[in-house]
Amino acid sequence: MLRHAAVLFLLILITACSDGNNVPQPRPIGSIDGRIAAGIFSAGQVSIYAYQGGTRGEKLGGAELSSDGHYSVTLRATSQTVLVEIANGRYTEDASGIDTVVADGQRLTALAWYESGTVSTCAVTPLTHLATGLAAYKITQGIALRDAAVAAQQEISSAFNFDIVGTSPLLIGETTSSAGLLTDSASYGLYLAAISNLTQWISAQNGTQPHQIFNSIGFSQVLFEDVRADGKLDGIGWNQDATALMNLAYGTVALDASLYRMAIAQHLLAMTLHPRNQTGLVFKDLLLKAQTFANSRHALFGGTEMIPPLVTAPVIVPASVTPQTTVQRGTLNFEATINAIIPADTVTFTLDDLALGNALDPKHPGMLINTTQYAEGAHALQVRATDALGNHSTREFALYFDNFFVTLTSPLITNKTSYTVNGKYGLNGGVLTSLLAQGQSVIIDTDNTWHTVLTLTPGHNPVVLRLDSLGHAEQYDFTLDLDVTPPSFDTRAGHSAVRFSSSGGNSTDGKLSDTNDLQALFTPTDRTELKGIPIRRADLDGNSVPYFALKVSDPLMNGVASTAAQITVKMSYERNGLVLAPPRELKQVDTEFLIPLASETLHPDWLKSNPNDKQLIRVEAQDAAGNTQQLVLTFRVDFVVTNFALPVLTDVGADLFAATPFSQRADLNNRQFASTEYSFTNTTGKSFNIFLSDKVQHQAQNMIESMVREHRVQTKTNTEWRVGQILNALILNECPKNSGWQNVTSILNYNGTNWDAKTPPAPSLGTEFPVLSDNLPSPPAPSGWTDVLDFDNKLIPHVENLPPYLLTFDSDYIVDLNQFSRPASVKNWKLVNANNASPTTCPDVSFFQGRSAYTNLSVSGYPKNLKTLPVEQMNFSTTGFAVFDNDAGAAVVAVGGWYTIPAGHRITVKKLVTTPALTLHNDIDVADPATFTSYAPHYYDKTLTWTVERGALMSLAHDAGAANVLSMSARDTTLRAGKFVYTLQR
Amino acid sequence: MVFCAALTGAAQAGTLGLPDNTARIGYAAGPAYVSINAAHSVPNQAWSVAHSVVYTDWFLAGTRYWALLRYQQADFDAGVGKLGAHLTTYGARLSVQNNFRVTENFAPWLGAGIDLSRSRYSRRFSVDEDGYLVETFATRSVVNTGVVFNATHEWSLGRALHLSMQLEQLLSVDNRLRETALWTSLLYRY
Repeated sequence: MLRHAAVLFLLILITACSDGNNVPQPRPIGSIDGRIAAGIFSAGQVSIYAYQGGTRGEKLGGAELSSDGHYSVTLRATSQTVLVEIANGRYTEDASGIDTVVADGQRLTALAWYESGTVSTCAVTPLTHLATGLAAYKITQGIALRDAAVAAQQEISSAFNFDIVGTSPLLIGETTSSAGLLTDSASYGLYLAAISNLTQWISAQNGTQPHQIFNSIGFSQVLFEDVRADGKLDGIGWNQDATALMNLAYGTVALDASLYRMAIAQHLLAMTLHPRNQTGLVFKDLLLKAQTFANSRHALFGGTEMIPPLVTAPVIVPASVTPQTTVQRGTLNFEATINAIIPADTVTFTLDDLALGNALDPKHPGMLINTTQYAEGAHALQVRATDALGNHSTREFALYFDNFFVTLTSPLITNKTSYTVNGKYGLNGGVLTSLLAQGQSVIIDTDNTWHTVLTLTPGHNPVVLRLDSLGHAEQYDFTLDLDVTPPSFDTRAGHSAVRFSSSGGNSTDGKLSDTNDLQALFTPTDRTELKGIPIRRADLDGNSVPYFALKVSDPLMNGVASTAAQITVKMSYERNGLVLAPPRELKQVDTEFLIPLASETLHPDWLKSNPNDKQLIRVEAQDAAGNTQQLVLTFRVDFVVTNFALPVLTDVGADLFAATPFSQRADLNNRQFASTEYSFTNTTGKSFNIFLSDKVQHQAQNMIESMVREHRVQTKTNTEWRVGQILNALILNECPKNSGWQNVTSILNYNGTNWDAKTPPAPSLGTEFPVLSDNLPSPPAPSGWTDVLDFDNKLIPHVENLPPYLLTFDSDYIVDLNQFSRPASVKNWKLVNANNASPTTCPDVSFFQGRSAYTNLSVSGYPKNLKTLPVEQMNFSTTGFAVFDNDAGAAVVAVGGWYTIPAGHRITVKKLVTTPALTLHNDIDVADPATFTSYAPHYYDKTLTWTVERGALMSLAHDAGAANVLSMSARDTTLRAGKFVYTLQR
Repeated sequence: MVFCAALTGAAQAGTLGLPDNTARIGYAAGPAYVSINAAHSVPNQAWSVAHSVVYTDWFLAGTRYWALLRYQQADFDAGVGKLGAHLTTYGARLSVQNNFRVTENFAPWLGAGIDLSRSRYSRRFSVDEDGYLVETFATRSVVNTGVVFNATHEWSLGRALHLSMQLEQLLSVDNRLRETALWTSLLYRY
């Protein structure tokens, strides 16, 4: 046992020399590089976030984009799936070359696997954003995060046939050494350009400026929402409340799996023909790829067969003749224009079911028809156009072959009473004899044209044209309609329901009227875009998007009116008299026109409005006769920041107090520190402004231990008596006299029958009074001696018969009964000598006196040390707030007290308070009552507390630009969370 | 306190007829398992080697006191939520022990006492889940007060030289520090 213990002891001594561990190295730095592309991104900031549970997590790093859209973000993070995101900046649309700003709430993302300490590459494009949406869907289906991210990227990559993350897209405006080669990089760039071209086409379908509202970034958001809902690109997405699925549309273009495939394939080919294409790739290089994509049955599109959508089919427009009932003569060169996304591959002409052949040049299709080879009268000409992807359409034109004619070229309806009409005539080689209108000669112009002025009356005006040529006559009867009545608007079907802002930041339900100037519209900022919502009453109502609804008709007056199809309706949008959106044509939905109050239908800048701005929608309808009517719809809009998760509160001031020793507590006087931290993320999709205030008072307390020595004293009053005994009252030859004073503590008083013992009054104590010393003060001097009042005026009579003398007197006050002849008081002393008639008398004497004598006494228990616990208390206020943008990595600077919080950013707000100056006490002797001697109070700081109210008032206002900061209506959110007490104690 | 106790011991020794000097001085060392429970960190534990100078003598009524001045270092590994640190502790410890005879050859001393020490935590740092450094923190020092319980057994190596082994448990008053130590002491009666 001893041996073992000795060995153990030696081992301990050896191991005692251990020097301990070292601090480990920081995690090695890695990076993620790549390119942001949807067109060339020329500005913006890339952020990389942790991606946890399908949502964006902590920001891991960020970097500015280079001018050609490349980025490189250094990271010091664990190996994990990360979200690469760009949520601002600007880029150039491939198809239009328009510089486009990424709007609030829009973003492009990609998921990447970051291996700690290594360099990874990740492109960020609309396709990777689509993959992010697909991954989010897969995660909701229970697939693990990393597996979901990889599977989503593989699925999108296989649908497009290149690696969407690892391939850096070659943008079509860029030249490269591999020009002309169909590399993955070139394919990627062309697909992105196809999306740009597609959104330019959608802009045209919606009647908006190219890429002003409908653009690549916006379309990416719709693609994201589409695939996130059900894992497929099928035009089915969640409504804005995420409570039900609905059909998606991008503006007026309904989306479905067929449209995605066909439209993207078409625009892929279209971009090979685009003047901005510098890739060296031509139409035929991409034809097979486009055809494969258009007919893809990939799972991304639900595995369904692609059915060519009507909206992507070629539109055939006659270039040389007006359609329907047009009379043709001689040789007709029938030319058509094919309005198509890609040129028609073949154009076939058929006349009366007889094939005429294909156009020699499908890009400029035409066919020569000698009308003289056909019977006079009506004929049907059919034109069929087919593109390389199989989209086709057929249009039939009614022709009338007639070589001797007179006709009218003016519109058959007008609003002019004096109407100049013109037309053409043909003589088929003959000579004009006369040409009459209403029996009057018309003016013959060159090139077989004519004109004349007719006076019309409201309603139908039958007109007869007659052409004569050497006995051959042709008469043309027609009717000119005079319509002077403008079209009318009908809003009786009702605009949508809406919420109006009311006092106190609340809202009331109501309904839109034509004029809504009294109350601004209560508009949550997550309801300001359509984001794929079709413009239909049910869909708009279902997503709480307010809209104006109107019908337009042309009143039937004198039997004349334009049909609905003949009426053109346009709208423009103005704010404070300034036109933001110029007139554009509205499309009828069912039987009415709908104008949603949204960025896509008004203007993106409507979000820069304050509640006092006058918003105006001007709708103008024009009938076939040229009569116009305007409808003005007005409103004001109050953008309300939509709900988001309220800040999480953390008490952050404790470290300051924990790190401050009690002896250094003076450092905590007049000390500003961050007490409460509020963290939140702007998940509203829009930037907003916050104003922070705090009207509460915080409280600082110093609980002090105080000690003081106290001494209380009372004065005791004693009554002292003295008597002067008469030497001997029986001495006959002298009057009674004082034999000398002596103090007595009692005396015998004669009460008429006996001697009573009398004593001085009992001592009395005066009121207490303090003294500042342990020593008693000197008592007052005794009072002077004064005669004691007779107790009862009773004296004992004496008669001494000493012949010849007779001595009589009365006496009182004797010291004891043995000294009866030595009273202190003698009265009526009279000596009668029988031999002398004159008696001898003496004055009355009384030698019984009293006085007050004083002594000072300490009150019981005094002197003693008295301990108290006074509290010193002071209020202090919040001195300010510090707002930090964790994503921007910088403090947010207030403008007029308002801080702008960008969409998607994670914010930390710190409440700053400044402590008051508490009095510093530090008398150590208070701690030991046994030795304390001071009559001046000493104070001993014991426990200091600073109670800080955690709450704050956060006013939220939509960010409508710096100019509107002070004009916005704000909603207050009170953050109540009690108090936090910081304590420092000895 | 040790001085006063020494006087007391000497006086009692004289009374009991024991050798004139019953006091012993020595050196002790041993492994200690230290557990810290710091604010803002999950509890952390580490093995360390403790060293001390021991002084012991008779006390009152058949008891003896056991005083030591100790020094030890420990390295706490960091983990997720656990701060790493290098701990250096200086302190004094005094316990009073009573002898309990269990068998004829085994009569351990059981004791209890107090501990006062100053601990210096340097090289404080946090790491991520892969063990990489995340953040370093400033050195901090704290004063600990605690109670100790111990059990000691001794062997004689000669007239004036003794070997003892002691199992000791320290509990700090604020529950921030715990330590279990197995001391091996070499004591000399001078």
